[in-house]
Amino acid sequence: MSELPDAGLFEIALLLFDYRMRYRVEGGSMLPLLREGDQLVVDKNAPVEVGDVIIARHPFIKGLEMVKRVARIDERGNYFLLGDNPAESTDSRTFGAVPIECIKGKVVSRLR
Amino acid sequence: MFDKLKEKLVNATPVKRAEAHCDGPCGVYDPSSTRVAAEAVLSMTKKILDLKKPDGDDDKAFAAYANTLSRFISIKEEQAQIAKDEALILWTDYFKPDHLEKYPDLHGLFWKTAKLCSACKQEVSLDHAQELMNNVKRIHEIFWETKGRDIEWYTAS
Repeated sequence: MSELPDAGLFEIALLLFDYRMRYRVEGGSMLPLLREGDQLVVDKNAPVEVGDVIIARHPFIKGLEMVKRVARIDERGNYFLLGDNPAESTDSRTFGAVPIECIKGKVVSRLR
Repeated sequence: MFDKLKEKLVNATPVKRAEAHCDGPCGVYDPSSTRVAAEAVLSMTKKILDLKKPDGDDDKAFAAYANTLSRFISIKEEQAQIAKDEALILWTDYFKPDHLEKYPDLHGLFWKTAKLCSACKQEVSLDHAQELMNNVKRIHEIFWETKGRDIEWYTAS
């Protein structure tokens, strides 16, 4: 997924009824796809595959949620996450692959 | 009108922060701390070289001279160490393998900078102090290029 669709009415309806979550991007680790201030619609029930942009909980810092891309899933089933802009990203290169419990949901669209 | 309604509805839903920062609570790096220390090293080196030893054998004048010289040396020593520490933090904590690909001389630059900090302690060398400043300027240029920002080089003195 190198492009992110814009959220349609249906997505917004799902958001209103709590079937989706809304996130705002802070920082530039997902440039050029995501810019600071972009608003994302996140599906917490969607299956997550390699290449997906996801919201993950930081494995060591409480309360910190990050937007990253799944680079690979290792033999233990842990998710190796990378920023699209590696020079501006702290990701699995620093904190290692994360278990599925850390994945909060898949980014499905962007609010325009 | 429809867009406004849409915006209102969306804004009524809770929003969370999705961090896309470098280092959770973002690590704050700036080569200016290295620059200030390196400038102090250059300034102390100049002051040591310019200091005139008192004529005659007035003990008080000698004590004042020795005191001033010791202070200049001590500050040079201390600031050279600070410059080294600050440069090493940038090197090991801020810069990443991707930067190295773009700036293949990065390791060499930091290694030489650290060596120059040591040389400035061991010697009273205007050349090495100036070379240290030149290296810090290069670090400044590379650092801000990696941030995509155009920050002009300046010095305090």
